Amino acid sequence: MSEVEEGPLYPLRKETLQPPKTFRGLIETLARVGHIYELSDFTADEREEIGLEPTPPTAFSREDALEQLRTVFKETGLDRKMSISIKREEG
Amino acid sequence: MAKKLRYSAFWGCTIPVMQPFVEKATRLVFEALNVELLEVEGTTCCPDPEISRIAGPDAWLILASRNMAIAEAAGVPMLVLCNGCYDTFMKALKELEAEGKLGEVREALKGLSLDFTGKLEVRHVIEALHDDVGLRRLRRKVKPVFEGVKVFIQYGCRVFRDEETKRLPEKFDKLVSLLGAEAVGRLKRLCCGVPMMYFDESRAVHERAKLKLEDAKQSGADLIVTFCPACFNMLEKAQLTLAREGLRFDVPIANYVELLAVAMGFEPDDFGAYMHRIPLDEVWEVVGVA
Repeated sequence: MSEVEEGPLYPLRKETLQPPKTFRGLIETLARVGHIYELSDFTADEREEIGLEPTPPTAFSREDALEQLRTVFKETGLDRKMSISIKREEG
Repeated sequence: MAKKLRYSAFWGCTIPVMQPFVEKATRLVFEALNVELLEVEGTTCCPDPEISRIAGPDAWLILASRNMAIAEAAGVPMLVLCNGCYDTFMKALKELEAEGKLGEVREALKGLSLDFTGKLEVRHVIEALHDDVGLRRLRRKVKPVFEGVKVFIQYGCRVFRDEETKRLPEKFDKLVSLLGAEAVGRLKRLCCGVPMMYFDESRAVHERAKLKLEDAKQSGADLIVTFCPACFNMLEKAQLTLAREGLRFDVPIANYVELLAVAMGFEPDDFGAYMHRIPLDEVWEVVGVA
């Protein structure tokens, strides 16, 4: 796949060489927790209070899902493009 | 006997973290409607249709397909609660087909031990309620308790961008009528400002959200109702920002599903409506559930 390849849906698509700096925070959070928002202990408590699972069964609690997301980031070069260092978090 | 409706539920990032009361209300409503929601485990952000898609179109497409592959394995349509997630999945499906990228994406997914045929049916919660459950069945379960309440409908710009989604606002209107509420306001189709916020937060608040809030206030709206969690956040946060500048609106925001839950007999506390940053107490009082 190539990001600069022109296709029928987006004939004028060009590669974003340097995404705006304001994008970095969101992409970094995505790489770190697999979602664009973090789940705090406070929110987990609030969820439990109304009878929901404190932590959803998504990348929030599934390390394998997070690993797969990071693999995609690495293989497509998004980590380098956004200057994000992806490494396994300890503990 | 009608076949029981089943969906694999994709909750997205915003609802579980910032609006858990919407997740809870949705679970209560669908259970009461005898609709089964299956958990889709191991998903990630859809990813979002603006930032991630611009920054890394390939990663965006593979990750969107990864989420859809997990949902597809459940063998039922995927229910999407968030306009942004819906936009991502509809765009990704279109791109896989029209740009012939399905083969390459399947190859990438193979490395993650997943497969995706590209045939998953993605249903927005509006479609699930309006088309699949159906207005007739809903009418039997719903009381028009919001009679006398004026609502400003916030469609969210992502639901009328494409050919496939352009009927969603009309269906949203009908779902609101079902509750007995009166729709008011003119700027219903104006974007709330979320995409602009990633570039210039102040402009997003002052040139988008503020216009909508002024219109809602001038038209006498008691609340703003939306399905979109991003619009919900934006219009709520904008009010808190503008209040610091001395401009108070105090127009509460609710997800449609919360109102539906109340119209079906649930109490606001059943789904945690007390977590709203702009309280809905006056609305609940009118409805008689305070």
